[in-house]
Amino acid sequence: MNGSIIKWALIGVAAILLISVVSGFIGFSNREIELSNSFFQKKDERTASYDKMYKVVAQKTQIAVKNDSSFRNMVNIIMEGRKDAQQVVFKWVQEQNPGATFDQVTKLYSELGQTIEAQREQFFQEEKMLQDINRVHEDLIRKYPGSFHNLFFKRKSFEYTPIKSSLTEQVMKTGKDDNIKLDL
Amino acid sequence: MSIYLALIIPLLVSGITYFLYPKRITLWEIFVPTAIGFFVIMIVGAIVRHEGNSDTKYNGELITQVRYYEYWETYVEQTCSREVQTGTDSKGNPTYTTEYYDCSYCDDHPAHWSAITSSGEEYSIKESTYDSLVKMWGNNHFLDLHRNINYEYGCGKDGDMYYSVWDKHIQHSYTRYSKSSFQNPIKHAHSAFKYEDISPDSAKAMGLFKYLPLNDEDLTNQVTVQGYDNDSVRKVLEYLNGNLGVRYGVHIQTLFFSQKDPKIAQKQESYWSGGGPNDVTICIGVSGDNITWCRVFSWCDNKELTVGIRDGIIGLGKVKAMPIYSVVRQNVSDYFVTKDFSAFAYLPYDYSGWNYFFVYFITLIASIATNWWCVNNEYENYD
Repeated sequence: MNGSIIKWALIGVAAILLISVVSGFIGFSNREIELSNSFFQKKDERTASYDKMYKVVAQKTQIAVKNDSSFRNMVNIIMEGRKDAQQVVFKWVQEQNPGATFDQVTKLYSELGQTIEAQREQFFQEEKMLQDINRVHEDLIRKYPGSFHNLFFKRKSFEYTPIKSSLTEQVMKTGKDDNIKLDL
Repeated sequence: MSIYLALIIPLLVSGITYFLYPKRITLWEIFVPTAIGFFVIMIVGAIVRHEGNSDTKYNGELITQVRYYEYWETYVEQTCSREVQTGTDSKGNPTYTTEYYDCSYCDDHPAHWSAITSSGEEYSIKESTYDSLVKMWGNNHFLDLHRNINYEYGCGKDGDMYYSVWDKHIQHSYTRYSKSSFQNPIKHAHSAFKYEDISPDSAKAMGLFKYLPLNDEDLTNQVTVQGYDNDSVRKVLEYLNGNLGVRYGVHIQTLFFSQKDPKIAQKQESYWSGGGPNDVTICIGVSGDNITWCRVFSWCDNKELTVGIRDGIIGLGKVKAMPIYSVVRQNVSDYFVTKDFSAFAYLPYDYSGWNYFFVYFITLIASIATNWWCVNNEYENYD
């Protein structure tokens, strides 16, 4: 009887271990899918947020800026946090409103600066979350036991390109600083 | 380390139990503790995560009315029943019969004082708070509650209500907060959104403010304005929190830093971990009554809120209550939305040492209990 009990005990232990391993694999896969969905949703939101920023700024300044490269460049300078951003923006606002008085330009500049700063903050918050999700995903697939599970699933790292400076559509795709020449 | 490593515990305990009592455990019983242990770990793990991430958010409210309910009592006539043993049946089991008796009583209700908030909630306050508010608001009304009082055996006393209504004067307003809990996944996670830890001692040394200190036992008048001694300004800013709290679900705190570097506002943000999901914290640097800098922090996604309030307040130049009120009210109504912390649900929970200890300890207790049951139940290994 003792031999039989040991045999059944071993089968039982093996069954429990199997259930644990299988649930580990299921848990890994589900978690990875959740992170993946969150990541791509956030990535879409980041792009939408960038588009929104132009629309909001354009609305504020009441300037048709859809295809105005100087406007985009000006926004990029603010987003980069360049030291001469204030002067550049002020100059740009002045050039866009040649008939405006100094006070009017100052007011417009103030409103514009406020809006762009807020949009920039918002954008960086989204970027931060994207980075965070990417980090959690990397931890999941590279650290044990996720790394072991991933030997079978072969889930890949996200193609994540943090946006560092020039925030043009091109940069969205490549993540590289494209050395925009300022025509301002 | 996974909490499921705790599964080793029931396996070990079952092995030891089988070694000690081989005749008293059947085949299937060997796996009961492990199966139970699996569910225990799952449930205890979920409780630990839920409790660990549990956080409190506050909402400002205005007191619109205070009430005084007089003592009242009424005689309640009723009949009760009980089972009384009358003897035993042929098998020796006790037999019972239902007996009815008079259990009438004098139902007394002590006098009590309460406040009604702008959200319609009623809560108890002290008599002294009631008295001071009645005095401040300058009105006291009587309301006959038309209670149906039964006067019997010396019992019976009618009691009605007195109430006082806020006179809509900002300087006479009274605020309180309501609390609700929410899940904060950042609290126990490694995240880019996590702030630097600042101990209470360091905070004190740096001149940072505590989060929402209470100023009386009634919780009626919450402290949402700190660092500024002008009562009139404080009252307006407290009213601001109470009024906008009800309208927009926002919780506004205003902190004044006298002769301090603007960097202290960043430290304050870290000390409060950014505040709650509906918090808007306005840090204002002052030199006398002059505003020297302003920084606003909030979890709100729309950053036009914080930038707008900051620039609006800096533009004022001096601390003026009503203009600050207007700036904040305008920006809150335009841009404020409570942050939904479920956006951080992607963060994995970092179990602390105590969390592991708790899960392992409960698993051990469950394993010992189930093994004890396996040894002492009627199922035995007769082979």
